[in-house]
Amino acid sequence: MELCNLGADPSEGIVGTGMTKTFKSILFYAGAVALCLPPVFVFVWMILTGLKTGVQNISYPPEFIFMPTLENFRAVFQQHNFFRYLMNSLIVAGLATGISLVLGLPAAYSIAKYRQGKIGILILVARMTPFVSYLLPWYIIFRHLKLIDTYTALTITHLIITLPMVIWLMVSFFEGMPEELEDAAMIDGCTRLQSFLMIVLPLVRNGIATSAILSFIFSWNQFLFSLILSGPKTKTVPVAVYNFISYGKIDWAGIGAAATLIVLPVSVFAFFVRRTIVQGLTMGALKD
Amino acid sequence: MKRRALGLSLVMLICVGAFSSVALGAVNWKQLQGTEIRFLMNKHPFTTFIEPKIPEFEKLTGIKVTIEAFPEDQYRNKRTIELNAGGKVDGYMIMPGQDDLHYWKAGWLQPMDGYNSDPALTEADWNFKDFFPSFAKASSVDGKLIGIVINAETSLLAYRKDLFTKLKVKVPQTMKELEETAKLFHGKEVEGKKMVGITLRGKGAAATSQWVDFLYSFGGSWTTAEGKSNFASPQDIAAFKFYGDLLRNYGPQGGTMLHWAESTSMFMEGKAAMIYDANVFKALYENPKESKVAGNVGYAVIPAGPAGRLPHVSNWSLSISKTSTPERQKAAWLFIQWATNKENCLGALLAGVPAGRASAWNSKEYKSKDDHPDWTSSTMKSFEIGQPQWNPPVINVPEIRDITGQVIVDAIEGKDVAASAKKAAELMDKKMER
Amino acid sequence: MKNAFSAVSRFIDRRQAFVYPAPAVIAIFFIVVIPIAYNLYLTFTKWTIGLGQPRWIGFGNFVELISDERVLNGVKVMVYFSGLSLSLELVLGLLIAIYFNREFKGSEIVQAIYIFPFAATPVAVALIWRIMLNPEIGVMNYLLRSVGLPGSLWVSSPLTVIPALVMVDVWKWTPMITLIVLAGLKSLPHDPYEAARIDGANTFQIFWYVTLPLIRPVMIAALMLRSLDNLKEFDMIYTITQGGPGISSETLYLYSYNVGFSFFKAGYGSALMVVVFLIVLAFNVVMNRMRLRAQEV
Repeated sequence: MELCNLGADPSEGIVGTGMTKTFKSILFYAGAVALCLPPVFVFVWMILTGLKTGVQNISYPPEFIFMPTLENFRAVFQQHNFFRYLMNSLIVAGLATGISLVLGLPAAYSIAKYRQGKIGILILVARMTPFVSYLLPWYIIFRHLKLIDTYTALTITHLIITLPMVIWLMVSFFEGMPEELEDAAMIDGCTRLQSFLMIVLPLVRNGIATSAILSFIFSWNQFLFSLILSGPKTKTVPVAVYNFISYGKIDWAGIGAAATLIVLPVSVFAFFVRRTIVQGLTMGALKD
Repeated sequence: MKRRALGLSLVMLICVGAFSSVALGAVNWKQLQGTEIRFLMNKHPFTTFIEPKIPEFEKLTGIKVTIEAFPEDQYRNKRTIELNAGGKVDGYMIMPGQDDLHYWKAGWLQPMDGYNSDPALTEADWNFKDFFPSFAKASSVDGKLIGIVINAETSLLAYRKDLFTKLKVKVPQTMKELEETAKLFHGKEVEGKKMVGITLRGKGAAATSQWVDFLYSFGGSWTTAEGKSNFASPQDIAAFKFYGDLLRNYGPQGGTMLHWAESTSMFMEGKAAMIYDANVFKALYENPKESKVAGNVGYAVIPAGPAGRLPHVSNWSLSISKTSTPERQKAAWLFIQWATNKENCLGALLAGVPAGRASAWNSKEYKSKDDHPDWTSSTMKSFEIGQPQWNPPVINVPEIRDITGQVIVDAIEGKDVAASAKKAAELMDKKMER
Repeated sequence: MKNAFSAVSRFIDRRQAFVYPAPAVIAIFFIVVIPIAYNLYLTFTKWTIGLGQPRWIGFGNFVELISDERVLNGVKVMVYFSGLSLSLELVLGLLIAIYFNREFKGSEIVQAIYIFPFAATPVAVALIWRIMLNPEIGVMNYLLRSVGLPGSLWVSSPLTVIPALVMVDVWKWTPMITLIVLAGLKSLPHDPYEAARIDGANTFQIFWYVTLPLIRPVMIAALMLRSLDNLKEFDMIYTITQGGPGISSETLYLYSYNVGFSFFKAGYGSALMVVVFLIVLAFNVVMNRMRLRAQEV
């Protein structure tokens, strides 16, 4: 039965006539729904957890139908200063992404054009090192420079994640770019710098978008660095989730509400730019 | 004429001065006005209690207090890293039984005896003697006072009063009876739920805080008289085995992953007949928003083992950081003094935080509002007989707790406890720092 | 002004290969190289944070490391976890991508749904998984029991903890692999398929001899992309099990974090982190060689 297209020409769609086609169609969509259940289920369960009370959350059998309460969501904003955490995450991720682009784009371009493999290795080493090993030295250094609980420190540490990612992705995009265009521009009288800014960059704007988006997402989700290096003024969103675990109490409902509020912005954002993300990841994957 | 006026005003000034110091007490609370201090705290019910009251303190003294609270798992890491890196920390919460040796040797604890005995800094009626002696002793190192108790803890056996009454079961008085009672309830169906006999912490290092009560009650100890690990002794092994068997046979599934959160959730969901854990959880069990068993819980002291009833006592204290400046340290002392005065300790107790002051427990106000006299009496009794050495007497406590935890896990899983204990003893001897 | 700009411009142009990467390299030097150097230094010392100063002990930490059972355990756990999760993610990713590799209504919705696990903050969803996997009151066991299956201990038993964690990892990352492979599949040339059909190949043969070889570069690249983060998985394991039960889910990485930040033994912890790095490095070298060989085909 030609249900799965195990390699057959995908443009064919679902083959068959009349009843067989409808049946296969239904079967296919049933399978599709089943395959979409795992992500959806967890997401839904997360929201439900946030809508229940503490008692309801430890009930067994688990309650699927219950009176929802918005209490937890309200508490997250009021009692736990969530708005500030959202702002902090936004600022840090934004800064880290921005700086990574400014530093990383020229670097990736150069690595691609002049085949500077050695610098590429440096980038790779940065990505391979366990993040934990950065923590202690950074903490000591930042403490000396009085930079704990500042956006500066957090942004710098998030660069570890964002800068190598930008460079790694962009090298692929730059490699896929024909040099003739650049040469043509220079014949026309542009300097290399001008041609870089005005010809090359627009050509790879998909890659720029992708690396910016991915950088932002990964920085937003970063937990360990923010845990150790942030303070009450700069606490970011993932760390804030742990606010709901205190001595003698785990507030599952609060966690559900917080998790929902944390995951939602990023997911919505990712939804709108999903095509760019996939394209970028694939490009990076293919041209490596 | 002028001289007389001067003399008169001088006399008046002196009188007013004397009068005001008598009226306000000997301490000038505003002496460190304008100082800013920073306290690192654990996300603890005490923190929840005291934080909203801080503006009171700030108004009284003109000192600005910043509190940073972290969940327990991360709190210790954060606190140690900050102190080590020379962060601006003026005071912090500490469990002396866990961290005092390490912090003392590292030079992070400021002795408080000086402040306590200085009439310019400490009100006479603040009365240090009001704190339970065993806790005061626990918060001292090398004879120097290093912390003031804010949360006096011990472990209690909490049980389902309603089920015990229904099935005419008595509160177990010995370890053997504990086992039998757990066996009786295990597997019974109550209100459509299959029950477990008892729930305990089983998650390795985290479980040692409760297991240690069994250790002492079975006549065991952390170390021998020579300072070597005592795990391979018959008493220690018996304690491991009993604890592990109890949890494995009559406890919830997946016992080795039970931290207090999972354990208390089981009990509050109504699926466990008994639970042995910290007394401070009463506030949870009795809260109808969190617990289905609110109002049906009884509290008792640990059943007696071969060596008697020997629970542990532990506490959270407020300490002053030695890395701070003398001025801020004094300001920190004023804060600690205020946070632990009679009024605030009573308030904390009424909010469910077991206070370290006898006066709070004995007050008429508390006694009249006390809905759970059995909790109070069991707690008081445990305070009396409790052992303060609830952690291995070493500097590197977390590491040794971890080693201990491995044996507990093995015991819960039903492995050869004697062999595991012996291996742990060797490892402990190798790794412990004193 | 314009003169100044073109002067600078020309200066940069002549040294493009130098000036362009320079800021990034400098940044990485300070942010990466210096801490790594400090860590390497600590690797040869013995130092408990707060107690005295680091004391040089040469290779002492490595000697201790070799006889430390937990190191061997940590490596075993890493291999088990990463091996299982990476292979499952690749295989499932490929199969699901093939399944969805056609024109159908709702492909947009699928794409949207599949982006969610990837973008979701690991710590947040890990906490939700923790609740769901509770053997007594969790919803996962409820689902199993309601179809007649016995509940599982999930992460509460040393036997099932790794598979359970793998399940969570697969849940989180397979969708991303799927989307990448799907995009790859869509960009495959049609000719080989035409040729194969003309030759009379059946579905399975087409899959095995045409699709697989063509999609292999994408798969390997996806594997390399994923493995870097998978081997250093921290957030999820830390949140759900903290390495338990006992140490059965304690990867070497998690162990090094405990040694450094719970036991505060900075020297030994650094040595462990070096080992983690070497493992990741070795894996990447092997993967790279495989990729180069695949490209030669």
